[in-house]
Amino acid sequence: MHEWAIAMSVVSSVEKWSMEKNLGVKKVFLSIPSLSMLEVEVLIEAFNTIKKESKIRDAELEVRVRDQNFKCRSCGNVFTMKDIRDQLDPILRDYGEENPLHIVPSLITAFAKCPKCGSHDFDVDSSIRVEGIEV
Amino acid sequence: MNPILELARERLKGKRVLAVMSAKGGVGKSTIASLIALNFGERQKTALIDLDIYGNSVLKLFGIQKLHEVSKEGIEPFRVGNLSIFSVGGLVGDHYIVLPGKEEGNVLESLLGLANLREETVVIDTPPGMGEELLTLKRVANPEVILVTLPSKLSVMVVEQMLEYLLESKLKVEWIVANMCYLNTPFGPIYPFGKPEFVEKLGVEKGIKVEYLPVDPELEDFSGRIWDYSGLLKEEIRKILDE
Repeated sequence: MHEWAIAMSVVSSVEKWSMEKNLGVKKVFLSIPSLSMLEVEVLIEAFNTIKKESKIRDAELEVRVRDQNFKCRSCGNVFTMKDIRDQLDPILRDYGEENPLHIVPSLITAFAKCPKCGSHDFDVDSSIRVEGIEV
Repeated sequence: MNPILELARERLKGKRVLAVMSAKGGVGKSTIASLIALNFGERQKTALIDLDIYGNSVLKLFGIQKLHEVSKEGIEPFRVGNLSIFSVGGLVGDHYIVLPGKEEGNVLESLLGLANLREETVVIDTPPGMGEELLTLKRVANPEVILVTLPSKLSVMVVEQMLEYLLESKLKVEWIVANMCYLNTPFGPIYPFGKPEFVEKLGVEKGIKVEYLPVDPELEDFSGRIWDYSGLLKEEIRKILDE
């Protein structure tokens, strides 16, 4: 549900950028980690609603969902979401839809371990970022 | 472009943000932050944000064991009277948190950015040390700092290094709080760490006011229901805030 808060943050930061640069915005490219389980349709719906009250009301949102590649800092193993699916399922079961990874994907290392050596110490690319703006 | 960071800045913009900090652990930061927030809360709506993601002492002091609700606006606070409390502990429950350093900043930015913060006064409890929390706070806001130390020489020496950094970073240090300075007894005050001369000297050297707080053994009984506490320490903090 916090997709709305994220959409608000995107509208607000792109609007600020557009006003600083004095440029109109046609398209915003947002990149999110698959780990966050954010609903792309809800993000776009929220963006389209919130932008109406902003100075970027003609902008369109394109969302890219990044697949995760994790790299263990202890043994060097590189693994993906598929490799830790069995560790993630209990989180969905225990916490439900508004689970910690959905809200703060960076918390993944608290819940998952490297499938090879069992370390919680692995690199994650968990940020939500605007990767490009078409003017 | 990092929209969550921008959102955190936006949410804190124009608000009074007080950060309770110390380079030293175990000096009473969470208790002081909670009592400052409770004192403010008696007059106006106040937010208390727990940035100690590994300790979550604020939740323990308030006896909160629930999870945050999440709405379209973001993370909804736990409400205790006029206080709105936010903590990563309210996202993970009793699960431990272990994070590589660079993820720490993302977690803190997310908490500050997604917190549905409506209050004009924001008190922030921080973990000990000079890690990511300090850097994140500086990225998102321009907090007034309340620097906590014990009166012991060791604690003051550790805190002095942090003070150097804070002043160099042009952060406003409101007061240095010398916590657990004295214990009132029927025979007069006892100074468990000796007279607080090291912290007094530091305050004079840096031109920062030092506030001396007592030990109140009764406080321990209020762990888990600190909102019920109205004893000596809360009264002393109220006097400081009234000045």
